[in-house]
Amino acid sequence: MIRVLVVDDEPDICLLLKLQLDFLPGFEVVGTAADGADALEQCRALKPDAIVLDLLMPGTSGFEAIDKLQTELPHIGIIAYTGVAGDFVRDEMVRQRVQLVLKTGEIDPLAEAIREVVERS
Amino acid sequence: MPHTDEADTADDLEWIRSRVLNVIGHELRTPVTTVRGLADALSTSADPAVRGKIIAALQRNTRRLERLVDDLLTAVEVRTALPVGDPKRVPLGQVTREAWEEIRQAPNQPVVDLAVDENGTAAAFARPTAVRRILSQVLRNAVTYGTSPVTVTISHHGDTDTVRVDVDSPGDPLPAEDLRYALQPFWRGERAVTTAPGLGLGLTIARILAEHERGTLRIEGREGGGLLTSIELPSE
Repeated sequence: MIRVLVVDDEPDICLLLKLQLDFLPGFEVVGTAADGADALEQCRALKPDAIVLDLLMPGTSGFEAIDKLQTELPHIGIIAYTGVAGDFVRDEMVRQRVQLVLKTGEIDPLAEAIREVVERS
Repeated sequence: MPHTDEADTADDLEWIRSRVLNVIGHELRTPVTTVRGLADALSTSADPAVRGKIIAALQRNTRRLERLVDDLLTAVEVRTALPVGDPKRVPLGQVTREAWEEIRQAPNQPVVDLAVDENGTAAAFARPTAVRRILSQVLRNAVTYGTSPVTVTISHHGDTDTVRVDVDSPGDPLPAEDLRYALQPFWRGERAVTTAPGLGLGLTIARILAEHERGTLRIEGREGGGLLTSIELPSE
């Protein structure tokens, strides 16, 4: 079972991903968080296998959270999950070696990316 | 190739076009993603409690899409989206507090206090929908980018038959570029781009609605940091 933490400042995106991932065999959403700081705390407490992380959030953004996660909890697989990704976001995710998935109503691309990062880490 | 004014203008327009479409795409993506995904989830869920949650989320996100369309059309001054009806007496203190309560009820709002100095019962003479939207946009901007407390001062200017609402929002000092362009559609400051979603339309919409009600909206950098937004509307 892959244990996932979902982080997005939009509660309805958290609700959607929890419903979709919990419905898939082999996945369990163990928690949700609304910003990067909350995500870090929950990662320390829950030790998920993977984190699905929005990038633009008030408070501690996803960009800042990635830096801290990679330093402190490098075994957690990170997926950047964002509405749109311009050159800056794409380049930054390549530089940080973080897998990027665009938000759509379809769960398969995200599930596939989670499996990949968990296998790698 | 020599750099010409025409080339500069074409580059600028391309940059603006790309930026505007990017911002709109980002803002549409969340409700569209949610509606599509939740509709699928609804078809596979049998649990009445879960179905109730899904339906509530679908309703929230379709309303959000509706507001986005209204905001986009208003921001480009499409007349069909501007409020209709006759002007009426609008008590500004009451409308300010109602708008504030609505903002506070939205999820994940930062904790910001509001102080209202009503100066009696000053009222504008305008379309109520427009006044609500103006105050809502300005207060939402203060909550998103400012710190606590937000102070609203309402004053009546008998000599000009206008009523003025000053929204004082402390925060970080604003770059001159932000102050210059913040009332233009789709302008989003550097900080907004990296930390907060949004179309960059809030203050633009408030300005257009204020002008539609024969009023004005101005902004200036606040001493010590933050933003002072002044709205003038015809008084009762």
